[in-house]
Amino acid sequence: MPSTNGLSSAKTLRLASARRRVRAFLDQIVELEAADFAHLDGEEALTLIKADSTALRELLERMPATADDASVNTMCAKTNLMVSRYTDILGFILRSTNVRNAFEVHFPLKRLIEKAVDPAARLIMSSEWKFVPFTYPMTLDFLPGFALVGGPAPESGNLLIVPLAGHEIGHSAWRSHGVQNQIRDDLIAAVATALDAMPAERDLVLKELEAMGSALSRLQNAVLRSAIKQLEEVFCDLFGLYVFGHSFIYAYEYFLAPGGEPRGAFYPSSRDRVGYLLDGANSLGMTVAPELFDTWVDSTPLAAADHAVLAIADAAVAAVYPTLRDLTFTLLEGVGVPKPETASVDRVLCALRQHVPDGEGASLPEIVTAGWLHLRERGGLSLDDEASEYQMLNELMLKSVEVSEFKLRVDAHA
Amino acid sequence: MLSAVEIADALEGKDGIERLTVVPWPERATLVEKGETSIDLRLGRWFRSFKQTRTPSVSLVGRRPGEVGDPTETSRTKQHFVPFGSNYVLHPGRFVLGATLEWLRLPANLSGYVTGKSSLGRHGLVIETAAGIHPQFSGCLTLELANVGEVPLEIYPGMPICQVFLHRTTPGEERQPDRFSGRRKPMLSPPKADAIFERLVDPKPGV
Repeated sequence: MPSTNGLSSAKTLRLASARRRVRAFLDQIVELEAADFAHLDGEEALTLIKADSTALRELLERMPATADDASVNTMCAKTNLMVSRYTDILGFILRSTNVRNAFEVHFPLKRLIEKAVDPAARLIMSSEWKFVPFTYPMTLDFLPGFALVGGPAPESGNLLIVPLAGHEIGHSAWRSHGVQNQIRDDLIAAVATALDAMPAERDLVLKELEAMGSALSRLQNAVLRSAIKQLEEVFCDLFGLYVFGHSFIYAYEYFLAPGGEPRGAFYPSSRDRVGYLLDGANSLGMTVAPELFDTWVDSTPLAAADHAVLAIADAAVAAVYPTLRDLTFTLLEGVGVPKPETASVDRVLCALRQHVPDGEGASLPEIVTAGWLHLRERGGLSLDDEASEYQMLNELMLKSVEVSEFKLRVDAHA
Repeated sequence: MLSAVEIADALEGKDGIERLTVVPWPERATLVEKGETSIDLRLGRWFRSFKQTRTPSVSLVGRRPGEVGDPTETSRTKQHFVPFGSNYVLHPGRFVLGATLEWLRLPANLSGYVTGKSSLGRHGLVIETAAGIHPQFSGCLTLELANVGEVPLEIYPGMPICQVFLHRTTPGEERQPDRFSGRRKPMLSPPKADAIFERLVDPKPGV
């Protein structure tokens, strides 16, 4: 509605801006719909986002010029929320169509998610312009049932890092199986025990909290929050370890060596994390070369107060860990997720040594485990004149993965 | 040329040298039962089409060392991945590179020839023009797919697309192919430099 000086009112222009933003967003979705999708799941996510955005656009279109300021502001805030929520996801979906991705991996990873997370789960695999792999928040409230797994763009075609996707899929499994609730009582008890057992750390934090007018409950909550997040990370590591076997350990070492990164409140310390991983491997009967993590550098927390909270949380995590480990492995066994079989890994390794793919239908974890073993026995294949051999190893693994899909599809109708 | 039984024996390594590798494996019983002197191969999921708007022309002779080359495989072409169940539509007059689903490795005593399938050729689909496979080749075969017919053709990953006839060769002192050149996607290799050609085009021969 024009203002008295002939210009449109700020309210009218604000509403017009929101309409233009949603229209631009929808135009971008239409562009994306024309992309070459390697798998249907990305298209489905796009359809859901489009429906949500279209609904918002209709609300904006229907808003009368007489609407009051508060209503306009509410709609503008909704627009902001939608655009900020979905823009990243649109980029993720767009990058999922890039041919740099190892599209062959989608089939076995999706089958893993269907088994371990939800039979109706959908998977979008993409590549991100981030150094750390698979960091995208993949359990999105507004795309329920979708697992989003992102690898670092320069290595998104590298099968050897795919085991780290096991960790990220673990986050979905953590949520879908309600693992947090299953260990909550044990954790609360462990936190109480740790607080009693560590009076120096407890009193240090309490002193700071008292200065801010806070109480013991705030310390308990801080410890609990840190411990539960740490346990989730440990669960995800154990999940990846169970599913991908040795290849998870090699991929982990490849990306995180030599440890020592600054420590946030929601991760175990670098050495604790490796310790849990090695203990988990031992529980699964796996042998890990001791030198792999011998010189692993521990991480350091950023502030003294954090250090005390973390120390108490670490003690609680350590107390609950054995329960979590057993729960994780029992859960995966219960839903029928297989562990890599040594005989199959050996067979694939034999094929890779002869520079041919496996033709017998090995699983993705078996193939990538054999790939890691071959790479390590070949000395890492990092020299210039070994680049071709390294590239062919990846090709052979990806072809093996594709052949397994081929066999599975054909045999399903045999 | 190898018979069906000889192909089956070669796949099982009964030849005494190395075994013939075709992955996914063709079933021995199917091979022998069909009794054909070739192995059928299927179409893979990766394709490589040419970016016409970015390529004024391409020289088909190899460049001398140090000479500025043609645009690379990446800059001249676009890759496509087609999942099982979907198709690639090849329009009349168009050309695309595909690859076999199967990974082949020929032993030192076998060579082969790739040909299309008459049932597809009759619809206008030309499969392969560079048909020889040398001993010890390893990788998926790149296929040159052209529609010389008059209607658009749908080609599907997983469909039988070509066949390979195999011949015995006497292993000798031939140049060994690059052991690590095998790829799962269609390849577009640059032409190799040719010494005779270089001499022919030298503006001042002998100077």
